Amino acid sequence: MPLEPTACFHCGEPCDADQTQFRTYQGEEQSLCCHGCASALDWIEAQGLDAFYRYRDQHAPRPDDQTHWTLFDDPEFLNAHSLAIDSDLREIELSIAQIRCAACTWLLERVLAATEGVVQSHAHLGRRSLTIRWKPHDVALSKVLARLDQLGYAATLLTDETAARQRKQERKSLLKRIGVAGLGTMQVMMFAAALYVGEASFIEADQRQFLRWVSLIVSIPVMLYAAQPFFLGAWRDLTHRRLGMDVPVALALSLAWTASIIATVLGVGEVYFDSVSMFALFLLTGRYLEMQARHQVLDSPVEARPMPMTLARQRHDGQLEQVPVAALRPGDLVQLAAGQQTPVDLCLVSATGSMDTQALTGEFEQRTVLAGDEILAGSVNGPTSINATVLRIGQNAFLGKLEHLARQAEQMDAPETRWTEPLIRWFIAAVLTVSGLTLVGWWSTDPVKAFEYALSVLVVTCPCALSLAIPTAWTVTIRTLRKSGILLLNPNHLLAFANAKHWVFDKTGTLTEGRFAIQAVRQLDMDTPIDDALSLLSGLEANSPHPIAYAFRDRPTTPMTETRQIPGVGIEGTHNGVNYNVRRAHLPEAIHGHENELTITLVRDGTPILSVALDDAIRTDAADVIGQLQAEGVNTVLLSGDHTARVETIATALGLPNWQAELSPEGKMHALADIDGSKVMVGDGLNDAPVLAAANGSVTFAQASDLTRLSAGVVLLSPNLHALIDLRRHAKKSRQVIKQSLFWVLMYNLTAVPFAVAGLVPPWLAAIGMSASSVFVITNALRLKKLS
Amino acid sequence: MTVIYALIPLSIMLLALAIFAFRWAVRSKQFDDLDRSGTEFLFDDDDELHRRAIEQERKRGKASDD
Repeated sequence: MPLEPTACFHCGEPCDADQTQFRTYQGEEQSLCCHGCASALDWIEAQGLDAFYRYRDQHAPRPDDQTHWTLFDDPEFLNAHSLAIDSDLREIELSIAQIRCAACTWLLERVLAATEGVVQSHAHLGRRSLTIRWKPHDVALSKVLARLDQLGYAATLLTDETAARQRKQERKSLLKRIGVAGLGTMQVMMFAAALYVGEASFIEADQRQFLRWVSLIVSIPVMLYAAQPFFLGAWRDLTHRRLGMDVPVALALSLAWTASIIATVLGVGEVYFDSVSMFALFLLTGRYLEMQARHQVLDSPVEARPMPMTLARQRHDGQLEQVPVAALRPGDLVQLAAGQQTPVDLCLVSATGSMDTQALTGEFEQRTVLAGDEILAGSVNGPTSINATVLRIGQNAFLGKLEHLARQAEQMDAPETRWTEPLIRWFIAAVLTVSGLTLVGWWSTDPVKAFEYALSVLVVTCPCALSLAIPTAWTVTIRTLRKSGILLLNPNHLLAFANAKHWVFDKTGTLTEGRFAIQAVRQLDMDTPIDDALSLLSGLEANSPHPIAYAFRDRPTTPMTETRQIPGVGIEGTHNGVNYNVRRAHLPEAIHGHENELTITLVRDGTPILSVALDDAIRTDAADVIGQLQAEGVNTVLLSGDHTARVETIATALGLPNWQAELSPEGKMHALADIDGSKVMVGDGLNDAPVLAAANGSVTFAQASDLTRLSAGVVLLSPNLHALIDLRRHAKKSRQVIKQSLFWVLMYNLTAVPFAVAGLVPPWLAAIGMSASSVFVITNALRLKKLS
Repeated sequence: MTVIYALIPLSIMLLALAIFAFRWAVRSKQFDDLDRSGTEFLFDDDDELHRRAIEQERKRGKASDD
């Protein structure tokens, strides 16, 4: 009788009938799926840490003791990856992808606090990382990490430590600047309010002057410290002979501020300390939000399958030792465990093996490799461990080449992303010319007036509003998109999502699920109901590392004993003394009979009882999304590295007339370059990294590898293709808002300038006009708060 | 109105203080993990020091009632 699978109390995964362990926890019997989970519960309870189970909002990760930790005791390794606080105290920050909720961080810190030799620890929920300060003489780090591993938390090195540290520094420094700008702005605005009110009533001249001087003093840290990034950015832009967004910002800030200082010192004209401080605060806040979105993606580890830090290398005496990937040299003999991803290019020594190259080529089925065949970095090993020699490492390995290709593609800046630059260049030139002419024109009449009028031209036309238009729209868009699981990393891509006439898709993992699903079943033995047979089959596949097993997850299983893999054939097992095995179907048992189909057959004591056809399932929303895009006049293209026949099937099913198959990463680049005009690329494989970097707009998924995510402009947190439609719609709306803002600000400037030149604009009116146009731009941007 | 000549410099000193307090907060990582701080108080009851402090406070309250 098959048992209804219960969820494990610790990790939430379904319990296997013959593996289930029972524990009484707080008066109730709980089932646990494996020994690891049971011992995790025991240990947590024994330490008095059961608050973990009360406060968690997600299940704990399942313990997995496959990893070797001795590497973390190697002094050389520690020198490279940890910080020496003093002679007997070190600090290391590690990524832990399994940190899921606040209860996890609490548990980790408690466990470490109870560990002798660990001085301090801090678990970071946002970054999913753990910082440990420990005394290497008192406790070996490997012991600490093995303890955490037993609880289900597997630590890995941060993907790029220096970059992560830099990001942390960048965040802190910007936050401090925002603090200074915020506090300063509040003070200056208070003084400004007194000045405005005083203008109309009783305030005495020397008190007015005092308030101005005080405003000047408070604005100094805001300008010289908080607004520093804008001045530095503008300086960098100018030395590279280009006009970026920082140039008009820096110009606006310095002009308005200098004018205010002169006005304060001379005691004439108007001051704008409040406006400049507020302007700096708004821009800094926008910049912080933009940066936060980018860092969120870069900092969070990939849960799916992190690249291994070490490989098992064979020593001269034949023993295996774990060595860091960086220490591998071409010619080394290594062993790749089942399901492990290789970080270097290999040459197979074992007689045969099977490799999953989905991430590299988009090829869906595992490929069989023979002795002497090359295995490219990024390939994932099949169900048996293999021996191989290292062929190429680092930059020369396939991954290194892909990265190089992606970086190269990034350098080629799409002209469209800089569409506002000529506008700004023209605008600045015009403003400077007009105010110069005003000064010269009025000079002969009255030098003091001439100066005042020239200043009012500068203030009236202040590019504040103009340079706020794009950042504010971007900031609001980033926030809105993030709420629906769309992380916009590079706002420059927004325009492409709105404009692009061509949307290019990758196949495996993008339009399809990228894993096996049951397509059809056929009953071969009429006495065995399909459900029973499927449950037997699921029992056989339950613990198989082969990708086929994925199709049978989350199904009722009949427990099997004595299961074993038969290489090249399938899996064998026993239930109630009857022998079962699963193998590839012979021709009479096939279901559809076309060449791409993969059909497996369940055999009982030599009699086939059930055939199951498996295939990579097309995502349920793919057809709908493609249809919507096509209905809006978008040309949809499919570029894949998989075999022609498979790609054709998918292209036909989804109604994609333009498709190309069997493309190498370079091939994809060429195919993309052949498409004229602005294009958007959607892909998730390593082989997509260069095309993602080369496209005007690009989208990938959160599960993709680091390289792929770094190359894309947008990361979708959930693999929901409908998000693409939302993205396109919202990008269009944000383009419209930016255009509106720019148009009205320019109109306002063009109207105001003649009056300012003629000396008809009193300073207070200029200040109101300047603030009003900024307020208009911000209010307009707030319209982007709702996803259309 | 001459009082502003004393009060405004005072407010500026407070501003400087606030800026230093903020810098200290950023440096001591108080803005580091905003995902976590929202739930951190839940665990207070399990903290030995916290429990003892509450116990002490309760005793003191009783003592003053008598």
